[in-house]
Amino acid sequence: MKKYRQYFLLSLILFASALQVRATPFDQCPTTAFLFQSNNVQIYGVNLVTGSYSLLEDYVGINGNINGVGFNFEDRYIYGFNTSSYQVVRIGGDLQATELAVSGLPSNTTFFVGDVADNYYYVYRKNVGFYKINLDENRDNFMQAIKIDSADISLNLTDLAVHPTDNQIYAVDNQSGRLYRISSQTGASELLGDTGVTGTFGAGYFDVTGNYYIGRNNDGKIFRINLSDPDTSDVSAEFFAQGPSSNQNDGARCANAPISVDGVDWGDAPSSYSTSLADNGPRHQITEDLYLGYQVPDGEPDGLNSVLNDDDSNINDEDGVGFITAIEVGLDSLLQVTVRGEGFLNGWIDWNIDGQFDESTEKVFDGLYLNEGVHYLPYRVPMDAQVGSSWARFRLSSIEDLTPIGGAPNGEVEDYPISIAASNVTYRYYPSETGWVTLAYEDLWPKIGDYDMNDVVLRYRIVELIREDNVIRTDIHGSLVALGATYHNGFAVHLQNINYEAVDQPRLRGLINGEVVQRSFLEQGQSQAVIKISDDLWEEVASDCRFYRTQTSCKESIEFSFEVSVNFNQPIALADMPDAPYNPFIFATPYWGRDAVYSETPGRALEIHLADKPLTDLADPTLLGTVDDTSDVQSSRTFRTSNNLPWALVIGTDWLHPKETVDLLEAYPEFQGWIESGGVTNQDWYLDVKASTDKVYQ
Amino acid sequence: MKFNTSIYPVIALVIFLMSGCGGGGSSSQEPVSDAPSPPVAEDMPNSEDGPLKTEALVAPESFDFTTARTIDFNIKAPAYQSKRAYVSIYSDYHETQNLGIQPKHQSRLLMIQLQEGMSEGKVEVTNDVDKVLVQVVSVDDLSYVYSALITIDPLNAIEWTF
Repeated sequence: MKKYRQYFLLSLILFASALQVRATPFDQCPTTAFLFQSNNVQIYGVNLVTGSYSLLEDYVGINGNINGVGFNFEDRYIYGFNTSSYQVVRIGGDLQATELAVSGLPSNTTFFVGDVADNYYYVYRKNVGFYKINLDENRDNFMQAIKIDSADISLNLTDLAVHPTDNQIYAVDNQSGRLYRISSQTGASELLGDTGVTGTFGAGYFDVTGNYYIGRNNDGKIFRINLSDPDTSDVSAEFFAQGPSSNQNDGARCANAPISVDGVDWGDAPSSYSTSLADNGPRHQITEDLYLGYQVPDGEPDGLNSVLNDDDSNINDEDGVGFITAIEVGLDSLLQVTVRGEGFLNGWIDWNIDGQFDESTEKVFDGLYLNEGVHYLPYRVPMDAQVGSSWARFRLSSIEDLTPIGGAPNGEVEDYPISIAASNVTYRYYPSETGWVTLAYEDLWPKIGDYDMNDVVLRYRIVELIREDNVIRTDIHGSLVALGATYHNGFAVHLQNINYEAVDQPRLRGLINGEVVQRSFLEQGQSQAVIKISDDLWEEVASDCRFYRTQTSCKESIEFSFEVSVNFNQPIALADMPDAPYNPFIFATPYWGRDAVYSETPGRALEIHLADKPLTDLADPTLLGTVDDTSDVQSSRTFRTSNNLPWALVIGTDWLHPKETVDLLEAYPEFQGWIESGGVTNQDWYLDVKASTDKVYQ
Repeated sequence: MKFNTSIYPVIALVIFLMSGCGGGGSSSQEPVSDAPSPPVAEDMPNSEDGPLKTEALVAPESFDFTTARTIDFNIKAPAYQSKRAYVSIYSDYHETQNLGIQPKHQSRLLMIQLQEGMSEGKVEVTNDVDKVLVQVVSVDDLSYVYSALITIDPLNAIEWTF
């Protein structure tokens, strides 16, 4: 019998040993926030950015509920308290729990509140005590709980979290909503301020930048408190994302890890509308079963503020909402909305054009349930809506009551630039509502260039507002795509035959990179209207490369966009309006050299236009017909070589331009047929599929 | 003959400094003073023996290099003579089994309000587009939307009557 007892004890020791080694630590500091729910406990992974979650483990190897959890980045284990067995537990990277033999805690007492700091596991219970348990076997009192007698134990807390920078403990009192900082040494609490939210905040987490996230049990809402400066006086909580609700919650996270933005869809309205993560902009976890339009959204690392819109990033996925009637003050209008899956649509339009979506007055769709398919949705434009350019935001999600900001666990957000008009307005687009043509210039004129057609490359679009066969306004949009030259060039658009005085100067409005710029875009000294976008395009980009976006060895993002709205004092008859694309041109930036031809700087007097377009008043006409240029002003033949080739092209799409020094013919072989046939053949020579892919910048 | 490979980087640097690099190019990134700069050997045309280069092409005298054409359109919708209705013309569309043909809203070329059930005018269409989708929407009827896919005939207007 004694022998059997020995075997039994040996087996027990081996089994216990096996239990001890069963859980291995996490490989690294995980970005996931771990949420512990239910009895027996289940572990969920929560993406704090969107609130999306998934079950990671439905059984941790022991029965009971585990609460008061915290991640110890010293040994990369999660520690918690089994509220059923009154035992401290350790959870490894396989999400299996092991009960630990800890002495010094009061018997038959549960702890729902805890976290780890400086290799100590802290547990708290109101009116019972605040204890710390040494997790470092190299220190004294390993696995012994020591009560911190000086601690304030009057607070209504449901979770603690440790700040990654100051290593102090933070918690929100559930009843008052006040935020406290608790000394990990003495347990003394310090009131930091009112968060503005109350409830049972069962799960609290920090990220590496010091943002403190608290999850409310009953509705799953996750709030963010910016504690990047731990001594900040503003501790107000903002709604951040919609997470899972539960009556029993606790959270743990490695506070040294950044939050994950993988697989997240963002908006692209200007920053004033709160678009980026820093501004708590709208974002949705991408899922393949719920989105707007025809494309599963692509992911971006953060919201894109208008210079580089969402459609410029990977695929063109902003395709779910169409404004199929004009947006006219005081009238009904229609949207066409295409839905994949089924969910709730929330939408906002900035009616007063103040750069913000007002939740109370500018929400046009409020949790409208839509099933899969195409929907035609009416909405009314308010009588007091402002006329002009504005923005709209639409969010589709399984969450019914989204605001214009914050995370959502699924669906999509789409932001749209719109134009609010007075009544009976027609829109004419060149080349289309959101499409682009490309303007490509060679800047060695009047000398023949190398024809890589990338010295200045711009995207370009015109939107004309027409009423009763008169143009009342034209909007010129564009962005700088490439500068394959070291010469300095400006860019302007000449509205041929439109007098300088015809432009309503007080209402001439320009935006650079989405921000209103207080300067006149109407060039002085001209008899006709010339809209000057930039005196020096090199000044508009902060490039570290010799050339801007023409060498794949030096990739840079688009940094300069513009939008100029030109209103006219008297509407211009359609017959008098120049044809699109008007007369866009580059000019030599004053004081910068053109040393391939001129020993003295020609400055503003040197203009380079599309073929057969006229000079403006500020150009020097004596430069025409010199060197390789064979212009003949008398016959309106300008900017052509003796072979009739131009120095500039307008290309009917968002074009992939040739790499630096790559001849256009090498990049687009069908260009030859198009040129030599006079445009009869190879009319689509410029499409991406026609390009020699290794010869174009992409 | 054995080359000293250690001078390759120097040769490469010299070639780089001397060779054309596209576009105009003062090598300086500072505004010039009154002193003239010597011409820079950039953007030199192709050699005679190399592949055909763009500058050697000859374009017809009258060629305007445009990659778009102007198309007339003429839409008639007598049923909407007394209603507030709009016509949009799109250069691209989605075609799916479940939803049929639907416009790609980003490709809209024009949106115009019908006047007494009619609309006519001109629209610029890039050369790669051979069909347009015409959509008529009545705001008064809210959900009444009609559309038709029309192949562009370069000699005739886009015409649609319904």
